[in-house]
Amino acid sequence: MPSEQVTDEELMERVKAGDEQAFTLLIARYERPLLTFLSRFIGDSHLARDLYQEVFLRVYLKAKEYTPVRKFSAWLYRIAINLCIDELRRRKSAAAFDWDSLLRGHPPDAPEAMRETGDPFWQVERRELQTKIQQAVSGLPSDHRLIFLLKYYQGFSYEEIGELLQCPVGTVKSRVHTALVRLKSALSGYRVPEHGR
Amino acid sequence: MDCKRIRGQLPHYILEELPPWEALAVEEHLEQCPECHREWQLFQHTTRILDAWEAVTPPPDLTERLLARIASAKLHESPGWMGYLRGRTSTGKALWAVIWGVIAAGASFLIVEQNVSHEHLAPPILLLCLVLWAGAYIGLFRLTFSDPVAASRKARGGTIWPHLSRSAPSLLLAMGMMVLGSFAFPLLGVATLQDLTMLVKASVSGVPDKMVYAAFGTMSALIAFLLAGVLLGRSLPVGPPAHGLLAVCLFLIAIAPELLILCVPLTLGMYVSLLSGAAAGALAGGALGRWMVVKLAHG
Repeated sequence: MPSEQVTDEELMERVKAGDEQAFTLLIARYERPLLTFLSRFIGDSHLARDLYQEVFLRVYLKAKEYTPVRKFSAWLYRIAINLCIDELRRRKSAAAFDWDSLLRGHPPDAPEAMRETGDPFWQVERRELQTKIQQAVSGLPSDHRLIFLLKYYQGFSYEEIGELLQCPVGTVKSRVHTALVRLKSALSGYRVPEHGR
Repeated sequence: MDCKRIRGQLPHYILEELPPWEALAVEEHLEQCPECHREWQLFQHTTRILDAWEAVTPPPDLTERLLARIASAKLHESPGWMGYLRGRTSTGKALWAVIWGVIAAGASFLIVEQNVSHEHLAPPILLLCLVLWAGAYIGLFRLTFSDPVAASRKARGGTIWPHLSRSAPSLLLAMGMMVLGSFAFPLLGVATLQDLTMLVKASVSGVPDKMVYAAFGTMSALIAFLLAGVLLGRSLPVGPPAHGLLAVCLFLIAIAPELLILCVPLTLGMYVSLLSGAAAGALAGGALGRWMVVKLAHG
């Protein structure tokens, strides 16, 4: 059976049985979306890489605890969210975390794709836009940011997010609504640069 | 349908999360209301920008590093209760150590039984001896199995001091228990080791008393804890029988100062110097043992 046809849950069953190739397939499936999610939520690509490793390490070590009753992606993101929340708490308790100063002092790393060659003006505009989007999203309260990222970029439904975060669906909808309204306001002055002008 | 309500639904409409009939109502309203239509366009503009947010490209070696980390973690993976019984975990090893330590101490006691007054064989004393000696051994294991490799990663420098400070509580606990345990064996080794003690006493005569006792206490404790630190280190596999042998050796080394106390009339100053020397030796020996384990683990 081609690997694309095997579900995540089936792969996890194989991981539980000690199949390391199945685990590598799962990593390949979630590497980019999970790393992107962590980077966007935390706002620090280097820390996101550390967290990414920690997430998959936990997946591996806790594989036996996984039951296919639950979607693998939900289980994976639950682990990721817990680690992110711990990290944010640690930063907050260290009184060293301030989104504004973080963004002023250390702009988020540009995605590697932007380091491609091309029209330099377009590249600059593109890079600026990426930074602005990260700043706008980072400016959201952490619970709004989390729910919005899960909904908008990770493709979870309202119900799935409610189940994932153990909160009412109404609250999820309300957070997404508020986040989108705030982002509309924060990003209204920007536009997507057109390539090849 | 009023504008306020429609605008409240626009984010969900944009995200295609409205039921079909509500979406239809919103579309009809947008065709008739220029202001709401303008608002909808702003949301569309926002989603276009949000869609332009590029995904992160993983570094090429990310998976490789992850798999290496997992391979490393597997070495310390929890093996379940069978693993504990087999001594595959630090707790399991400590359990075996305690069992063998108790057996060894009990055997030592029985071996010298003929030379010891029967009043010292009372069950409560025997029990106390075993408990205290087991405590000392656990203390040693807390020291040696508290992940010296991870400690060295934090310390980075590879110097002894971080290990010394980190291991001080366990060492002091072990030392305290060991001293108490040794006192609980007041005559255990006297008969068998009296000659050795007298030999030591004779060999050091001529040197100021307090220094002799301090040096003797330091050396004996240092050797005991150094052996423990090195031989019981996590990266060096030591089977259960070796724990028994080690327990006897460490015990005999560790009770040497107390044997001296029993054999030689001591003043308070000598007594203090002996015990403080033993404590210092324990700290240095334990830290040195840990340091050597770390060095060995890192190649």
